[in-house]
Amino acid sequence: MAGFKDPDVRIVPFDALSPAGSPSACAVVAFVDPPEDPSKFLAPLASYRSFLLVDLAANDWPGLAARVRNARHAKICDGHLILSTKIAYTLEWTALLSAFLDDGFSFSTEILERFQIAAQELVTNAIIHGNLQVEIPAEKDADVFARVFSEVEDALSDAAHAQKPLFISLGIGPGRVDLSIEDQGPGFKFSHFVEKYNDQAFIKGLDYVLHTVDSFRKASHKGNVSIRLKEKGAEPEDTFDVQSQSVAIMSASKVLYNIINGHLTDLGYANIQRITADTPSLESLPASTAALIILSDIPFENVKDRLSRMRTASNKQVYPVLYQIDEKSGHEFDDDFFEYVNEILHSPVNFNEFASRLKVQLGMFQAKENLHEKLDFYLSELERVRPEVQRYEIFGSETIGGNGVRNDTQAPAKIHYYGSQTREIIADHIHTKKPEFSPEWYFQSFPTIADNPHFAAGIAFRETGMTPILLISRLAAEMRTRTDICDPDAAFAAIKTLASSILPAHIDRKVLVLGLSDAQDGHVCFWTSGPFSLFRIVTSDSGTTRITKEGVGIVPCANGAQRFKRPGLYLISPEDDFEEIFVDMEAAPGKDLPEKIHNALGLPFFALDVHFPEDGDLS
Amino acid sequence: MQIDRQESKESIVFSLKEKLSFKDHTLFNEIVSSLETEKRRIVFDLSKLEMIDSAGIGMLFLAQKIVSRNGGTMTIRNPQGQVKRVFDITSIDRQIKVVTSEE
Repeated sequence: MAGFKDPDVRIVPFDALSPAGSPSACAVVAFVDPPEDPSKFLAPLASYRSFLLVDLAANDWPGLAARVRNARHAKICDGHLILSTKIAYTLEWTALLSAFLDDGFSFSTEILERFQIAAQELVTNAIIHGNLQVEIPAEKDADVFARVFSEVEDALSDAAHAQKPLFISLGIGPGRVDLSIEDQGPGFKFSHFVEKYNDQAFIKGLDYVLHTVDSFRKASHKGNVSIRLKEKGAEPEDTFDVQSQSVAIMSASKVLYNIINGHLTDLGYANIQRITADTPSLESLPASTAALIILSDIPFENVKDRLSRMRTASNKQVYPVLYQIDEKSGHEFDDDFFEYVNEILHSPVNFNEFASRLKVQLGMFQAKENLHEKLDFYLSELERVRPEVQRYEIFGSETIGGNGVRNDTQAPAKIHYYGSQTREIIADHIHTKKPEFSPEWYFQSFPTIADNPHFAAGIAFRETGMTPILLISRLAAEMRTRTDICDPDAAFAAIKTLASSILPAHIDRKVLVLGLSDAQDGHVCFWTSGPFSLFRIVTSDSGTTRITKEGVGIVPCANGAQRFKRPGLYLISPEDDFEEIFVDMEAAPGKDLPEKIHNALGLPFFALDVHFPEDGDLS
Repeated sequence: MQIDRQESKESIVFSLKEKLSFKDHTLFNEIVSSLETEKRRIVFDLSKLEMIDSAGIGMLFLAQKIVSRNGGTMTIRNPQGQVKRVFDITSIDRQIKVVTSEE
């Protein structure tokens, strides 16, 4: 390598390295046989602005070294090691790197110990699982260790494996150290190895990493892992690609953050930032932040404070996704949760056009203390960041979680909830603070409808094979194209025509209930394509609940629709064989009301809670 | 890894030095094999152990399993530095007795 004239670059034999002569000097150290004690030459490397240490036995290193030159994120020092698998396995590189950090920089003992723990596991994984493709069973015994060791030794005796390169990059900034490791393996799916948030699951090396580092990133389809450790109070540096869509995660627990992070990388996200209570400013959030996932393991007061500060920050558009977890219950982040997050992040909305697309989602809440305050706050935040939202679409049920996806372009906000208490709080919020809103309630089992004249609710017969939401969506979409929608009778004629065309022909006994009301007379109609029975649920003054067959509570309309005459809770069933039925619900078996009704009636039904602006019958 | 062994009538103390990782399993396995019929109290003194990884923790659990199967007891003594940090994050003391004094 003679003839290199740049005075800031020194190319030396490994045992002749001296401390750097200038603060911008770089060192390139290459070797064929490793030194017996590499620590002797690692110490001087700390004085160089950057260094490249190359094991010449690692194949393809010249091309890969060019890539390394572009990896400059550190402010103080960055170092890159290109090692053959055999040398990486033979020498204790993590101990050496730890000594390098200890000797050359003033990191705390805590950072040094955490670094050694994480680096040891990651380098071991990269060698054994990545480059050598050897698996270690979870359940270990003496034979397992011996067998794995033998497999590793056999693999290393093959030059094709022994010479596979391993890249280790170290970046050092003020109060932080980054470590990246790239192997030649196919990568791994995070969810295969970290299935639960469980602080007892210390079987795999990855668990040690997640509990040790401040942030963890991995590539989705290749062997590439990066970690960061930082001292308390150290300023985070924005090293992310600000052009691509990013996700911010607000969490107190780095383990939870690392788990969410890992799963999101499985989904292909590479730009994930963590916000903690210590993060001094949210200005570092890229403008393209698509979602802010707030895990409520952090105190609610911190979340309030954080969101309040965001109000005064520059014009950041963030997308609140809130998910409440209960650490003590050992909550599992199952596929449903990550599908939900992925759905939000991959929705048809173009996140670069926030101003024109109006979709906001509020995640799931479970009943917890301070629920009223939290929900009210989050709903207010949602309304503040999305003033153009005109209505809510609210999914859920009294006893079970709701599902159902609705794509709508009319400024909706989608809220999923669990529990009747949550539902009541949402209804109260709408009633008191957003009376102009039009909440739409969709339920799977037993519906109740907010006391609001501007409501629309729908239940579709399950035998259609369509989910209720899908059917109503289609119907609603059709209705919105009709200019004569202000006439409910005409609307129902249109619905009937449309329903006949979309419902399977072989189902000849269908009940389709679609409620519409307007501000004028508030009546609710329903349409059926066949015979039906109508029941009414009545609760007496003594609290006894009974189901009675209703014969006079409806008024037929000219177009075949039926109109409810009085408010109440109704059940509509396609079965019409009953002349008279009276069921005392108190004696009916079942845990909750829908189950009791089903067991008591023994027939399919749809429930509708009919309200009117004024109590009493309509003439 | 280096191992020193001290025996008394009631106990055997293994003092581990330097590091306990995957590559040390052969040597550690020799210790474990010798415990198959041992009835005395087993102590692993880690006061001079500088580093342990997940494989090393696995080996300690393996030793515990064998000692327990034999009706014996096993104690880990004086973990330090990085080793103690690993013990803290894994809460190993929930499954293996860990003490910080001569016992």
